[in-house]
Amino acid sequence: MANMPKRVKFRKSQRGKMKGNATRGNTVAFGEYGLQTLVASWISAKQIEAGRVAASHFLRREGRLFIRIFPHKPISAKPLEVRMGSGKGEPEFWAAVVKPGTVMFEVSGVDLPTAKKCLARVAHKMPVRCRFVERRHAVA
Amino acid sequence: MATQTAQLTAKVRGELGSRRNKRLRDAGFIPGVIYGHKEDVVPVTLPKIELVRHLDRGAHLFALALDGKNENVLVKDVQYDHLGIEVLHVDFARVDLNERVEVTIPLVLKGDPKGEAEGGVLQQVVADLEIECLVTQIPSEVRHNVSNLGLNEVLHIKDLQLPEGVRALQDPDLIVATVKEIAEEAPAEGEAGTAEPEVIGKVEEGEAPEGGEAKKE
Repeated sequence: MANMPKRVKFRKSQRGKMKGNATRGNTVAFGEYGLQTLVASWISAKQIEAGRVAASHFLRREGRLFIRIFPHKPISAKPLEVRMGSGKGEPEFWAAVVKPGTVMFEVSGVDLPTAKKCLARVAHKMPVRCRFVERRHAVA
Repeated sequence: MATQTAQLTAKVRGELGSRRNKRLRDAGFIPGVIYGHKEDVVPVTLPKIELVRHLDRGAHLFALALDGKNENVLVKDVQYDHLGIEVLHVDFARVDLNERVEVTIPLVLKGDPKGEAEGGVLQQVVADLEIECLVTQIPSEVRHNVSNLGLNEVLHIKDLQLPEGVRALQDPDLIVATVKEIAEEAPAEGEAGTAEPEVIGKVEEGEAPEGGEAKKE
């Protein structure tokens, strides 16, 4: 599997709610530019990996990529043509839960047009509407 | 460049509470608060367009016209919405113009490091600098030329040339920027769905949990 935790306390988790907005992880913290989600969603490990590959192919060691999300949540599913009941399905994939405002990817060491092009490619791999953001300098 | 005082007209905010503040924001104002110098805390209302314009220009010091008198205040905190677009609230601290204050200013690195020609990438670790200076002499930013930075070399806080009267508050040995070669990240291993993480506390088949017998009794 692409990315998943090394150790977990429970194999399966409940679906949970994605209420509200991101109150943490919603600023560009490590790089100079970032990709911010505008909606709440699950981002699967495969999608995160696809974004990483798209960005690193484009950057070709010119800049640095930061991935700010990690798939902590196991998503289970029942096999096809199985009747309801008989317990919860087996874990199918791992996902990161993102809420509006979460900065998912960041880049540094590149200029603004390159960062925009790079993160646009990453945005195409994401299942959510995204927005390009720049780092805001602290005032106080 | 030294600080220029931004002029702004503020009104004392009589109505408090999140619902009233929301109505204020909808009407094109921003709620704020003034405190400090052991005087009363004063909730205020500020015009959004002018305030945001000043904040975008990096203004720190404001001269607020409040109830017919001028008050010099320093921006202490700015709250933004979850997307970082809208200003929600501003904190101001009363300040004397002869006072030394602690503020955060942007650190801008200029030039192409010579290490980039050798395959390195400039990585700026510290983007904001914490400084202490006279309130009237807050620089808008600190610029540093990194064109002499070679591959695997680092720039420390102590290497920065700060304007006169400005003192850095962070550790002098703190690394500000490096030029490093970026190693190619290894792709994720394995096939989807094949591996599973280790479950903490899971008992392997055939192994009896410690104290299991005792629990049954």
